[in-house]
Amino acid sequence: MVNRKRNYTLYFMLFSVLMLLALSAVNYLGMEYRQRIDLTGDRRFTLSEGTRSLLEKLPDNITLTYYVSSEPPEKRVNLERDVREKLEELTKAGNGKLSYTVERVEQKNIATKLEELSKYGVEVSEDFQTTDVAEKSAAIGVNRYLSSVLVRYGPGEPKAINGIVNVVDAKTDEARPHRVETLEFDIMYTVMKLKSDQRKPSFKQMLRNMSRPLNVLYFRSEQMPRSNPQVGANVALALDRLREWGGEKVKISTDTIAWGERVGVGGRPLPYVNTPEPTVDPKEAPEPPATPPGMPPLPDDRDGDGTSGATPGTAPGEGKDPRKQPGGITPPGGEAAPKPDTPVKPEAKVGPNFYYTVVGLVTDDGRQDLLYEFGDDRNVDAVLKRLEDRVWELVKPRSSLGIIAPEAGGRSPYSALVNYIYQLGYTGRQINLRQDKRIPPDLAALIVFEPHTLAERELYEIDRFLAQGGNVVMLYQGYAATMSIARFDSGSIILTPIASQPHFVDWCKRLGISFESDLLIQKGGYDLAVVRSAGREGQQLPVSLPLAANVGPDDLDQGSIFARGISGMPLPFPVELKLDDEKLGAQGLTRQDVITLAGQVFKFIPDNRDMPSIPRLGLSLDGGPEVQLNPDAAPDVTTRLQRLGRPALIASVLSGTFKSAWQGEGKLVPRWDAAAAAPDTSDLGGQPVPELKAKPGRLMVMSCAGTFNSEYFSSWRQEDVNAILRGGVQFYQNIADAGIYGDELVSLRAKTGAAPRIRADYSRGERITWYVLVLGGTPALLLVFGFMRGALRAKAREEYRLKLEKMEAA
Amino acid sequence: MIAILRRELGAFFGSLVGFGIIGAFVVIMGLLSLLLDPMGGGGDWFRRGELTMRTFFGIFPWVAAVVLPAVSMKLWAEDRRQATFELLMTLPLPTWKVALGKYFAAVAFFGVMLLATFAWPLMLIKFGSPDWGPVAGGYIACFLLGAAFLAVGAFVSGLTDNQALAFFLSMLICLGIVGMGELRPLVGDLVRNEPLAAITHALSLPVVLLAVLASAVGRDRALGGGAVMIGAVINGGVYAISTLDWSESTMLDVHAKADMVVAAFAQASVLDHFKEIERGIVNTNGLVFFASLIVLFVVLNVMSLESRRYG
Repeated sequence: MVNRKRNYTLYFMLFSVLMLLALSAVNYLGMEYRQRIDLTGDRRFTLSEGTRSLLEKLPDNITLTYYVSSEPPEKRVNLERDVREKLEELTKAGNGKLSYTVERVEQKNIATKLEELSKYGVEVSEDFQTTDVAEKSAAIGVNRYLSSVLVRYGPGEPKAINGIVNVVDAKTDEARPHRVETLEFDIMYTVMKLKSDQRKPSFKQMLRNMSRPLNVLYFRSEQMPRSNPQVGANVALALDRLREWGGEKVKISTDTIAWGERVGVGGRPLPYVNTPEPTVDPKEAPEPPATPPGMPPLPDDRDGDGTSGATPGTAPGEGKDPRKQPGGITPPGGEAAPKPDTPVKPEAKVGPNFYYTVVGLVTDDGRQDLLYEFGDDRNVDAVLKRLEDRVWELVKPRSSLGIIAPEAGGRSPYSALVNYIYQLGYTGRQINLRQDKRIPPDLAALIVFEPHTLAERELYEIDRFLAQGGNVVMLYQGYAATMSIARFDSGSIILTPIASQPHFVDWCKRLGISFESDLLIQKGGYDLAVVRSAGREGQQLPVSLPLAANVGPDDLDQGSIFARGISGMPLPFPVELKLDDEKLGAQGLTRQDVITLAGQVFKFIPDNRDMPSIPRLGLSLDGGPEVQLNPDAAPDVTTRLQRLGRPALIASVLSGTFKSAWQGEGKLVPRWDAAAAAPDTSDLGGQPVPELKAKPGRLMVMSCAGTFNSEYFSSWRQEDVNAILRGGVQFYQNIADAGIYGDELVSLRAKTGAAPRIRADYSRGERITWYVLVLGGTPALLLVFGFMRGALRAKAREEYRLKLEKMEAA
Repeated sequence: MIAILRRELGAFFGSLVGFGIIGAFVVIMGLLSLLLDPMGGGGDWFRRGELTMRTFFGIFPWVAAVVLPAVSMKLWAEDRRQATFELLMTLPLPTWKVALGKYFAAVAFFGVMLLATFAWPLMLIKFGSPDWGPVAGGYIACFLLGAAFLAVGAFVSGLTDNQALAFFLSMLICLGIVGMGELRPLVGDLVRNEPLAAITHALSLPVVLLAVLASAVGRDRALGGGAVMIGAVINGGVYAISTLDWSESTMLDVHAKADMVVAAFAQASVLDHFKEIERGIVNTNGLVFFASLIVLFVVLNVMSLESRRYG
């Protein structure tokens, strides 16, 4: 018996080991030949077709390095695996064009690694542990970890994507720009940026090919640092080289600042460099030793023009030869520089502990840069190298956005946008069609503010640009606001409807676009401008009128590139956009709604189109009683505030081949009106419309233009304006990128991984009802079921008893 | 097999215990996921604002590890207690058919438990437009994990005639399975510092565990004791060996192999597979893993029952 048992046990063990091996093998196969189905609605964890297509077209290979902490925060335990999986998927789609490596960094080595990688922009990620996650100020600890992908493409410097997270917590991670789900987009976007950066020519060619002149202002003091007394002369020589290469395109002015003086320009002090020890007079600095005999000149053709690029005043091969000792100038004649620690003559004049070597670079399109610290540059080549990068930033060819905006008194309220676009690295070209008469065809996108005020001929030009494959953004504005900001009394906002030109209305109608006339007010939006002084304390209190909607994550189509990163963008005085799907469909146009105000939105319904003034306490209608904003009020004529009850469409992108409204027999090119400046004899006004080559284009329509209207935010503190306009800037950058990189980038879904949100307008009653239903619904059903079952059983028992009794009686 | 299945299902729904388990499961899940959210940041579902069942699926493995042993504990232990076990074993049916009939009945009952949470998806529809992919994935993950736990429970139930013991043992094993993934940092440390020990543990511990299981199935204490002794000597001795001087190439080789231990451990982490499917990614290695777990414990159950024929 015991033997039988023992035998069975051994048999069991053997069988189990075999089964374990078989199951391990099956699991290994499952892992090795992993297949998966992505059930998410937007196929969030799957590469999009756009990425595959872009990868196919790229000429160079992409190398990715993922730097990740070996011990990431607890909630990100699978960070490496998740990122690795995405990179693996990209590698497979890349067909050998993309490769990646993962470098795990120990927690104790993060600082060292960052030092090594900071030149590429790699930064540490932080997770805040908080008691109240909404407030970083309540943070009880910070987890610092590394999670960055370094993208290498082509010969240029790699670029870093920092702070990649996997787990998205609605409270703390909504604003994280880089997530595993967005990594596909982030990597491809970075590759495309790197690709466009590759066009950097040699410095000489760069200066020769500049489209606009470069003005260089050089301020140097007489005293120079003891450690590098010839730095001022080196800079001057480098600038001479610039003039030589650039010819007439480089204009240099030099100003010498007297010994020990401090100066300013335009009321602002010029930046100077402090030195740890007193400065010296460079003329009294020691003569540099002669070049060691026998040192051959090094080949130097950095200009790419076949000639030596050796700088005048520089020893042959200066700056190239690692054997060359650092320090000093470089006088003409090819003499080598002195060592930095060469003692200054004892009788040398001693100066203050500061000096000036300020180089201002200004282009005539308003771009500028300032360099003032060359202390480490010990020869002319080093100065030139430093200048080269900065000059390239100023003069590199940039994709341009055309901007058509209404002007009053020669000034456009939307001009702030142009500055922001410059900062983003694009050119914002203001176009005045009445003067320029045509739209430049090379625009990445044309942004038209208040298109409903344009003349027919202007609309015609825009229509043709769109029909020939252009990207056009039309920003409609239903109301003009006059802000009266009072210092000691209540201010006011006067709203006036902006009339639409009939040809614009017809043009929109033909496409299936219309704009509602009622102003939208969003609960929780931004309060605009009217401020008042609250007595002696001089406090300025904003009036509680949320007249600018606040675009939140719930309002955006997260699958659109246009929506990427624009959360928080203000929309002053918006109206509702309406699109007719039938008309769009008939023209073969597709739509993608980008912004839809989903929160609590109300219509403000004026009796007549002359909007009344809005004093500080609320909405005053035709001198009637002041009406407080009461979001929960029922539709009421008195309050003229009505809950919209549905999401309000604000922006949509229409794509397809747009048929020109002026196409067809008998159509004539509209004439410029009499006010248009500089009549052109070659103008086609009044003549038959010429043929055009139709191409697919893109039209974004938005029913609010005021985001960059500086007047609307004039009472705000600058830092607040900057903070909220960041979203707006991103919006225009998205538009520019869509124009520059084309449909493939647009088609890459900007997946955010953010969970869908519960609609905001639920009532307390609904909430309690559903709590009860979820918690108690099933138990209640079970109870009912149990009772019914009990009753049925009791009935059956009773019947059986009666039956038995009958049988007994029988 | 169908007859066994129907009989077991009838037993589940024939008493108040079955309804009680379903009711308790729904209420516990509702309270924890709707109002408390112990796995997340806390607070109620509406305040969190996410139109998902993330919290529901997040706490499910832990709740299931406690509730499902209550379903499986009576599968065999009850028959033993009522002396119907012998009757079942003498039916003109192979043991595996009886075992599968009982197991499928438990799985069907668990299916009803999941269906009883129908109010959750209804609430999602009511308050917005949810992404149904992760919801479907979450339910699939719950079903697979629950089925695996029931297989564990059925096996443990077959080893004893004491229902309470079966419940506690199953619960401990299920909690151990869920919590195993949490040991990954420790395994990572071990692999980095003592790669040889990590490899030895990875190879020997499953064998020791198997021997202990076999001894439990065959009620052979000598085998179990011997396996534990040998396991202790091997696993303890490896630390003494690791103090020896190894050549750099050997150490590199050992480190490379030890990394496979981490990979194997990751593959064996139930919670990781569960979370992956719950996110909406249904993948072959997750499915194969859960199927393996179910097959392993169902086969163990069948074999342990077979062993009774010799006892």
